Amino acid sequence: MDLSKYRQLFLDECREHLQVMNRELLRLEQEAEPGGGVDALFRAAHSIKGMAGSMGYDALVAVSHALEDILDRLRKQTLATSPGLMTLLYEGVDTLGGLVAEIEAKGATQLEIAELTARLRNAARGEPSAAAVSPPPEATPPPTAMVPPPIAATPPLEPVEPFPAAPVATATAAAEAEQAAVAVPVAVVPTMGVEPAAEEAPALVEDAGMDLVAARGGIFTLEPEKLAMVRDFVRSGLMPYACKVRVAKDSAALGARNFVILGRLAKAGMVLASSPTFEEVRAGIGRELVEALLLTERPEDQLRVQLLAIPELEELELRRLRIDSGERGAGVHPAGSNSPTLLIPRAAVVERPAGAVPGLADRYAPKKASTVRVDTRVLDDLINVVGELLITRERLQEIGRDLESEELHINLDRLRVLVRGFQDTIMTVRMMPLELVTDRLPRIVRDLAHQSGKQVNFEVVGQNIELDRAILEELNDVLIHLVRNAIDHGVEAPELRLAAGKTAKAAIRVRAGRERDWVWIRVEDDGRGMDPERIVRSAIKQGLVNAERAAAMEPREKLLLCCLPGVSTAERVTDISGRGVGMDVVKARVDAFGGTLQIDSQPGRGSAITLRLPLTLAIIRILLVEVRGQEYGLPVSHVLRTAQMDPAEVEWSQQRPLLRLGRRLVPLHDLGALVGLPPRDLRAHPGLFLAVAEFGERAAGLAVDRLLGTYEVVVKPLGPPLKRVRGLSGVTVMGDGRTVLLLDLAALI
Amino acid sequence: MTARVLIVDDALFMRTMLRNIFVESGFEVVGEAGNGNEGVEKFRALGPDLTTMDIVMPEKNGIEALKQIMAFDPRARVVMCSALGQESLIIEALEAGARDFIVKPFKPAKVVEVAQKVLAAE
Repeated sequence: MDLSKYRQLFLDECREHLQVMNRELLRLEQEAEPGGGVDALFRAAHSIKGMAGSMGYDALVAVSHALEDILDRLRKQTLATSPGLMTLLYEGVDTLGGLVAEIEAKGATQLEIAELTARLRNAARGEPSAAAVSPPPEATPPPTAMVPPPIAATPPLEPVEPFPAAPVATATAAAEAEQAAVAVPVAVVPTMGVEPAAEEAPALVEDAGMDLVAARGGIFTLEPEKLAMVRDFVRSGLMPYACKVRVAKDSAALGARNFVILGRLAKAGMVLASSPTFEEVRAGIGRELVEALLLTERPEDQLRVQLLAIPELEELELRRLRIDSGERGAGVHPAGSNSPTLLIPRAAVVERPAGAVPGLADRYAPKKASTVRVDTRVLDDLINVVGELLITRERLQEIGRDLESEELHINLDRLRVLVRGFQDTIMTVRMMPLELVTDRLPRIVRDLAHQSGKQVNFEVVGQNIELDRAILEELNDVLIHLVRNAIDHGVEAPELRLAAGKTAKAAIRVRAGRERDWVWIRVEDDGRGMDPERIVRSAIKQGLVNAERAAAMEPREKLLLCCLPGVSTAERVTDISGRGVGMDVVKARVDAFGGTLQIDSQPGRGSAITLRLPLTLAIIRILLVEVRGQEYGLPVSHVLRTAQMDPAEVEWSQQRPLLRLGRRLVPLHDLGALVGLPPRDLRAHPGLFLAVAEFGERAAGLAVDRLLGTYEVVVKPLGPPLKRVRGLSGVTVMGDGRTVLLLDLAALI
Repeated sequence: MTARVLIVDDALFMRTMLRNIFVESGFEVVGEAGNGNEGVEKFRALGPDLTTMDIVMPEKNGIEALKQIMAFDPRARVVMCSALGQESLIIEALEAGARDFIVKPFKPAKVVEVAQKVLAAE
């Protein structure tokens, strides 16, 4: 398995856990009594151990495991804190931090941890605190060879659950039974036929002797009542089987695996006896070989299929047995000889304690937390719910328009307020501060400045401005691009700056602010500035613009040409930037958000690049329009105004319509033609409507058949193949279930 | 039909890893939850064919969540995810109705085996 793709996630989560551990250790140190914080500490160590194990970082596993053992005892209060122990815990957490840092830097660990791990392990074995309760004597497992000590992971002083008097298989139970003189041991004598036919099946025979010998030497003892019951069951058509199940060698939890096996057997029929028994497994015993005597009505092949569905099986051996009732001289009882069906009282076989193991419930009681980690998908789901609510409310409003019910309208207004509040709350949750992205910049600036021999004073203002996390994620690359450009092309080398009468140290500043539903972010420098004419020359040379058109451009428009692919302001290509990729990528990214980009520059004084971004992407207000029977959504954020088309505002130039917009003339498009319908002469269609779309410096009129109003909708991304269609930004579902395509105006006009 | 899986684990790392293992093996991961409460809610909302449940989690641990899920749907197929050395907790969960378990660190083949077998069993 390729683990590298999990590495970042692993490192991020480790760091979060380490933060928790440091915080909780401080608190633990100040508290007289260890409180809930110890649980958090334990969980953190436990999580790190689990993750590190999955990633194969053994050193991290060793240290976190040793810490976990100590913390487990602390929270169970079988170990008391002491200044020495605290120091050791700090040392452990610091070492975890060191290991994580090594993994991040080098992908492997080198820190020597053996000595620390040994000290941690020693501490974990330390003397119990006064709070520790010694287990009552009767709770100690009987010291017989049949009952191995609890598994190593159980701390030695952990009270062992007293297990109920085992009816079968333990030496004590057998001894007791013998003493009480009620045991009628039965021998199972297997016939090792290759193809055991019913007649030649191994026999379950009563023996006046002592032991019941199962196939291959397992020892079972049946109580007399059980034996009598077995006989009755067999007579009524059930079949006894000897089952031998070998667990895969790499099973990580033998006892639990044994438990599952016994559980499945019990589900398939009645477990007359087993080794290990349920009780033994509960007490922590796990064996590689599980043997059982099973009574079931199921035919062998069916039983086999059922048992093979147990995970981690190495081997399954199933033998049908024959029962011999010595007392009554009965021989073989083939299946189906008597009553057709029989209900098996499973409870009689698998005895489960009435309640859960005491203590565990308390130990793992839910903890209060003031924050939770929320999967972003949950937030997306919630946004969808908000969208549905908004749409449903709009529908109700429409329906209610004709009803003159004051009460309805009051409640619709109330609903609007509530939904708006709901929406705002969820939006708040989705918002993250800009500093998540800008925090990385100072280091990048430092390194780049160093590399290019420039001196830079870097500053971020407004890093508390919050943006939708989806935008922030995308913004990361954009900001790095812009800052790199500023260092590489914007600011001059110290000697040039001094010669130009500037300070040797250049200033680069990232500023952010909020305006209603928009956030602007500006990257500015006091460098040499950009020369619009040089950019125009580059664009003309690349054939991206003709000289005539370029001459008519405003300076700002000329600067924007640097966002065309292949146009560069750089005279030479460096490692850092200036390969002709950069600004076009930035522009495309900003356009994709429905944002705008503006460049201001004064030669010799510096440049500023301003991004204007929507606060959130998930819910937008759209203008619903109808074009030749088809509905489309336009983002209201880019619609300047709407109106009925006034022929007096339209001018024609070379058969192309232009719209008069104040003092400007902007292109007028038939939206139908833009989305691929056959073009039509707008003059031949009076009564059309108009939406004026605006994108930064660009604007255009869009002719539509009808304006259907504005709606707040949830934008859902398009799946393939529609995703590739230029001019579509997404899709939304309206209140009545119909879907409406949302147009990407930036790409269309 | 593709089996629908719900993953409950407080570590995003573990969820991602499990998700990838399941998706790569042709399962559909219908949801993820980061604690027991959320796990129970998602189970009710999504009705998955299989649920993987971490044991040690904040808010509500996996065993409590399992019990609530079993009370809601006794036929629920829940597979516990646990770390090494938590055998008594796994057994507690098995007694409470969990169908099977997987032990971290996961081996993808084992996760898939357990999932397939649990889904195949009656």
